[in-house]
Amino acid sequence: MSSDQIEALKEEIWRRARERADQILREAEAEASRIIEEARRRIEEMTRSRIEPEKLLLRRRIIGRAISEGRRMIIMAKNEVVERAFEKAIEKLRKEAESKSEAYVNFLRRSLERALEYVSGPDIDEVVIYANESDLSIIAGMIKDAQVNVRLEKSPIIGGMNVLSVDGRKSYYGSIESRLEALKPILRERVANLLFRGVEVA
Amino acid sequence: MSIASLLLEEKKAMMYVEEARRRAQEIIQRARVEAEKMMRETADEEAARRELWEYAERLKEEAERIMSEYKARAEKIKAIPDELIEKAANLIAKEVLSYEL
Repeated sequence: MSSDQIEALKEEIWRRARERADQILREAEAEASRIIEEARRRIEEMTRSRIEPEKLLLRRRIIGRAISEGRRMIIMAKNEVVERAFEKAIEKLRKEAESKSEAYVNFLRRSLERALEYVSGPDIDEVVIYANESDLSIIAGMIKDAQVNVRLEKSPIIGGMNVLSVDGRKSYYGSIESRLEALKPILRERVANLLFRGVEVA
Repeated sequence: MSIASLLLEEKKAMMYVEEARRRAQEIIQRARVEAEKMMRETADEEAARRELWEYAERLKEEAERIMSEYKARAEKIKAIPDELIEKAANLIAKEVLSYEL
């Protein structure tokens, strides 16, 4: 064998050795990556099964409380504004009653008609009308032709009237305060629609 | 140069490959140790508590942001123009006096 041939064989031996060593190291690196990846996957799984439920509970408790408290703030703010509208309405109604405006006198007349229609009857001899002192003379003028005996009593109401049969069996609440109270649930909704349309959706 | 020198070279090459195998084992062993360390840290209760505490702190910040958004919305509602309140009051007064409801 010539020395060139021997040299060529040596090179071949080292080429194969290097190739094999590189392959072994590449496979080891791949195996190491797989081990780390597997550990990460298991950690993620463990975290999900152990910590995630607790995180979810924390989120529900902390964020849930903030949202419900926030919603409560919105509702309170809306209530405050609606109440302001009702207070303003009471002022207006008081002015209407004091000035004996046409709308108010018409209201008084209709209240009286409804009250007498509801409270009077064949078994009712007398009714008592409770009204604001300043309205008594107006009401007196309206009851001239009443089919039942009417007694007028002054009452510290804003306006309108409350009517009771003398025996106390029948009553009709037509004062401004009573009407406001009775209509409040319906009016609250209408007022809220008017006030918050386009402003806020809670 | 002789066959003997070729055999010697072959032996050296085999040792070279063996060294690569030893290094490969080291690489794999290091990865196993690192993986075990990662798993131990995860299993550690203290680490879990710390993570939950940090998460709760982040949630509290988020909750504060939510609350300030709601607060701003509530302030906006309260600052509703007087004309609208006036309009609503007129509606209430009209309905009370009208007997239509």
